[in-house]
Amino acid sequence: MAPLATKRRTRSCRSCGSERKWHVCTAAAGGHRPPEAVPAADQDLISDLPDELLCAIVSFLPTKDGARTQGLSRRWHTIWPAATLDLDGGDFEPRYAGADLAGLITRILSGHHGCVRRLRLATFHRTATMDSLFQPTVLDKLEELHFRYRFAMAEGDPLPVSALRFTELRVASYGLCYFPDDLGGVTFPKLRELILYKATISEISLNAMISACPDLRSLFLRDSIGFHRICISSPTLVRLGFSVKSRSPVMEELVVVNAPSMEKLLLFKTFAGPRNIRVMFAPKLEVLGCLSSDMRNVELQSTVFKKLFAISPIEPLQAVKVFSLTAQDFKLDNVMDFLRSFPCLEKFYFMPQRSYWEDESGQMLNGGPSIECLDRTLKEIILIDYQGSSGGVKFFQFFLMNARVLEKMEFQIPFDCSKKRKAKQKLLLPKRKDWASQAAKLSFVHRTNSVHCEEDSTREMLSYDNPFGC
Amino acid sequence: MASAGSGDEKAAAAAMITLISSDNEKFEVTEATATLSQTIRHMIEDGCTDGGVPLPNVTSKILARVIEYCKKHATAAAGEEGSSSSFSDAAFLEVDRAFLEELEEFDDAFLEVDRATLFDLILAANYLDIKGLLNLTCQKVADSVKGKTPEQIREMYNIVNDLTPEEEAEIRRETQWAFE
Repeated sequence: MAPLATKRRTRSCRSCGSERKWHVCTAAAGGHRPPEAVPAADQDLISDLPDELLCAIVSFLPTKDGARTQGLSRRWHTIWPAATLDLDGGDFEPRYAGADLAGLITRILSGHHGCVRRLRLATFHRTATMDSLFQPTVLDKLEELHFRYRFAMAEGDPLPVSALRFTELRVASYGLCYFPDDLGGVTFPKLRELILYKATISEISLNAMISACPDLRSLFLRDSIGFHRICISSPTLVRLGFSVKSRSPVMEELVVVNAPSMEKLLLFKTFAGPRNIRVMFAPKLEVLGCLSSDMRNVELQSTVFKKLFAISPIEPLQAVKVFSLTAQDFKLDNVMDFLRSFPCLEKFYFMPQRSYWEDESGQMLNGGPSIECLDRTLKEIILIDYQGSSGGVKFFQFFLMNARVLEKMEFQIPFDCSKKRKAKQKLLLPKRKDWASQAAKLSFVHRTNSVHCEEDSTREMLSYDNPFGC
Repeated sequence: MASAGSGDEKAAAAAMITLISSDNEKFEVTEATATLSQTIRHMIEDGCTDGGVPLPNVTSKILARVIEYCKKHATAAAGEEGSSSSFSDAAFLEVDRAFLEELEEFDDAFLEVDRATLFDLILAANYLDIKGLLNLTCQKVADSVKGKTPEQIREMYNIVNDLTPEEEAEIRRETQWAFE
C-alpha cells in the first residue's frame, strides 16, 4: 500500500508544522498564531486525532452507522472493528429476522475485536444455534444484556444457559423464556438491575439468581411464573417491583425478610396475587403499594392485617411516605389502620374498585386518638379511576375535615368530566370554611389508569412512586 | 493573567490550583473544578502541584474553554453530593430537573464551536482525562456523521479516499447489512 500523503500532512502541527502528537507548540499561543495557522477549509482535521479517539467517536454511533465508516479510507477501515459496541438486534429488522438475524449477529461479533458493552436481542425465535450466540469472547465484558424471545410458547422456550455466563453485567433482563432448574453456580458480582419479564422460573432457580447478585439494587419480577412463594433477603436491594400475570397458578406469598436498604416496594396488578405479603425488616421503606383488599394477610413488621384490618397492636413504619391502596368501595375503615401505621405519610393513592356503590359509614375521629399523619404530614391524596359523583362522600369529607396540612386532593377521572359534573361533585363536599387545611386544592384530571404494558417500559415503571403509572 | 472568574473566588477557603497552558498563561481554579480532570486529580494526590500545573499540550484558548466546562460541571457534581436520595420528594426532583436542563443548555451552547476547536477540545479532554467532556465532544462528532453515507462523510470532513475501487467494493460487500 502506498504511503498516504494526506496522513503525513495532517499529523503535523497546524501552527508550526512539527510532529503534532503531544508536542508543545509555542507558535499556537493566543494572539501569536501566524496567519497560516488558520486551518484551511479543505483540511482533513478529523484524521489528526489518534486511533483511540476516532474509536471513541465511532463508539457513539449506532451499529450500522459505525460499520459504514469502514469504507471511508484505509485508516478508517480498522477503526470500527476495535470500537466499543452497543448491539441491538432491532436495528436490523425487518430486513433480518429469525435465523438470518442470529446469523448476522454472529457474523458481526466474529469480525469484531473491540468489546461489546450492550446487547439487546428482543425478537428472537428459538433456533438450534441459540446457545452459540452468546459464546464469542468479544462478549465477555458485556455490561448490559436484554434477551427475550419474540413469542411466549405455552411453557416458554428455554433460556440458553450461555446467556447467564456474563460476570461483568450491570443490567440484565430476561424475558419470555424458561430458566433451567439448575443454574450451575452462576454469579453476577456487579449486577445492579435485574428484570425477569414473563419468565418461567422455579423457586430454587429464582433464589439462586437473587443470591448470585450481591450488589443488586433493583429487581423487577414482572408477570413471571413458576414459583408460589418468594423470600427476599438482600442487604443492597433498594427497589423491588412485582406483578403477577394471572390467578393460575396461585402466587401465595411475598416475604421481604431482610432488606435494610429497601426504599420502594411496588406491587402492580394485585388482583392475581400474591395472596399474602409480609414485610419483616425494611426500615428505610418509603414507598409501599399497592396493597389490596384481595390480599388475605398483610404483615408489616409486627402488625398483622386481615382483609386490610389490623388484628394486632399497630407498630408504626416511620419511613413510609407514599402509600397506595385499592379496596372495595370507599370504606374509611379500610384506610384507618394504615393511616395509623404510617405516621409520616405524605402522599396517599387510593383506588376504589366499585365506586358506584354508596359508601358505608366510616368511623370518624369522634374523640378517638388522633392520627399523626393527618395532623402533620399528609399533603396529597390522589383518587385513581374515580368514576362518579355518588360514591365516597364520607371518605372525602373525612380527609378534608381532618387532614390539617393537606395541599391537594386529586380526582383522576377515566372520562372527560364536564364542568357541570365537577360542580356537582364539589357540592357534595363540605364547605371550604370547614376544611382542616384552608390551603388545600381540589383538582379533577382526565386520566385513565393504565400502567404501560410494553416490555420496554419496565425499567421506567420502577421509577414511579405508585403502581398506577401516574 | 486570565483569572478563573469571580464565582470561585468567593470560596476563599477552597484550595486553589494554578494551571499553566502551553503558551504560559496561568489560570487559577478551585480544586473542585480542577479535579474533574483525573490527570490533575492524580497530580494533586501526589502533591506535585506547587508552583502550578504545566499543561504543555493545551493552549490557553482551549484551556479557558475546558475550565469553563469544569466550573459548570463541578457545581453540578457538588449539587449531586448534597442531594438526598429521596425520590418521593417531588419538589426536590423539580429543582433537580431544572438544573439538569440548565446543564444541558450549557452543554449545547458550549459545543457551538468551529471544527478545529472541537477536535482540540477532544484532545484536551483526553489528555486531561475529563470523561464527561470527552463523551460530550465525541458524541457531537458522532452526531454529525449519523445517517450519512461514506461519500457524504468524506466530503464533510475532507477525508481522502485512499482505497482502490476493488478494496472499496470488497468493504461494501462485507458491510452490505449496514446499508440496508
